[in-house]
Amino acid sequence: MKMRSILRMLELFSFLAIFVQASHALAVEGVIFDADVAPGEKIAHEMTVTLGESESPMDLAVEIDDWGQSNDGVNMPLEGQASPGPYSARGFLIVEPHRFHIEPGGTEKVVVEGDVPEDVGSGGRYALINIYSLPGKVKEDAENSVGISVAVSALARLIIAGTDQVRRGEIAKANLTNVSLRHQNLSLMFVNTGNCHFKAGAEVILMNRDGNILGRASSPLSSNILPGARRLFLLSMTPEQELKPGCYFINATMKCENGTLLASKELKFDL
Amino acid sequence: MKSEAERLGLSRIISHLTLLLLVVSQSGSITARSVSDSTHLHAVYPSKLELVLPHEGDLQMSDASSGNDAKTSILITVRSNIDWLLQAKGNYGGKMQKVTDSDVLLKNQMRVQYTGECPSNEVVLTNNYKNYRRGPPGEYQIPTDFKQMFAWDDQPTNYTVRVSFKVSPD
Repeated sequence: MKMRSILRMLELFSFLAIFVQASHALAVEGVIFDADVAPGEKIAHEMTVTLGESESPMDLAVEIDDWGQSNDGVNMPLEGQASPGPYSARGFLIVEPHRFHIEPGGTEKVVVEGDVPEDVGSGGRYALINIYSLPGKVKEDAENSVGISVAVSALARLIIAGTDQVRRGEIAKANLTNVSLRHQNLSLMFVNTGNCHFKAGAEVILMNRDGNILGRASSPLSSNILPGARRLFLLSMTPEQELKPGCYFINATMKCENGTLLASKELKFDL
Repeated sequence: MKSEAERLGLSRIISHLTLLLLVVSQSGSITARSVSDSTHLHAVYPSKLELVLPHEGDLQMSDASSGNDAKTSILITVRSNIDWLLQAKGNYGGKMQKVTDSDVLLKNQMRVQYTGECPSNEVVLTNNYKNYRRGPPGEYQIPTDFKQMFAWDDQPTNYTVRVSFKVSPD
């Protein structure tokens, strides 16, 4: 009797386990390659590409690109003529395979590897790894059809071990918009002038001529900002009490995720 | 007899346990795999992105007429254990040269729009990826209308359009 109960339980669990398996389409595991690496070190990172059981066979290509970021923090390959700068890891990374065919339910290992140059320098080195499907042949009867392509981007963030990780930046632009007695909007263009990636947040304080604090605002912590990249922070401030006509100051500061002060700027405005 | 029944039961238990272990092992976890004897081995990170899209060639544009939208609806699924960003771009091909409205570039007429609970503005697609949606870790169903406005004198035949979606860590 006891044995029968155990069997029933196990059968139920087995069934549930199969039932709750996620159905897969194109999946990539290992999309973030974070590592501390030493000059001269041989490094490798493996990603697993999986195609769902019910998918059509797919031809895929893999590329390593210089990693750029837009002002709103989108990771993207650098445009053709743009200089990769000193923080690119693309020059010493290779990927295998470059192209592969994957059948439904199949998996493929994609390995990113490289030799870190002895004179690699300090800080961080970065690259984007793009895995994308190649266009299929158009079927003869595929009139008026919509083709779908898929791509997955992976990130390589390498920190050169034993070197100084410089976290600093500057507020390149600060603009006040929609300034009224009740409300003030502030945009800050922050530039990472350090040599490694970090997350940052903005804090602003509104003061009157006597230095009394009238309002505060802060942004959420950003995603990682690459060295050399710019990031736009938008803040909205509503003082506790409506302002009176006069002269006011806004003190804006940028802080790193660990609280380190990165940059500050003061703006004066009249109402 | 009894001991044989027990033996049979035991084999079934082992069989089910094996199946369970197999399923659990397939569900993904942090795994360190050997890449090469000569390389420094880094652990494979569990960061994972998955993009589920309709099958290639399953979609047909409907309601195309000159000056109006042709539309198809798709369901995109993103599964991720990290913050993610979904981008889209569009291309066209085939015999679109029959299109005669030279004032408007066709590539600027391709749009995607989230049609879920809180529909969002359309994203105009070009040859470069445009931000479509982003979100924190989890599984997301993203019902989407894909639209293209056509304009022609003679109805084009055999045209194809391609929309590409890319998911990346955000």
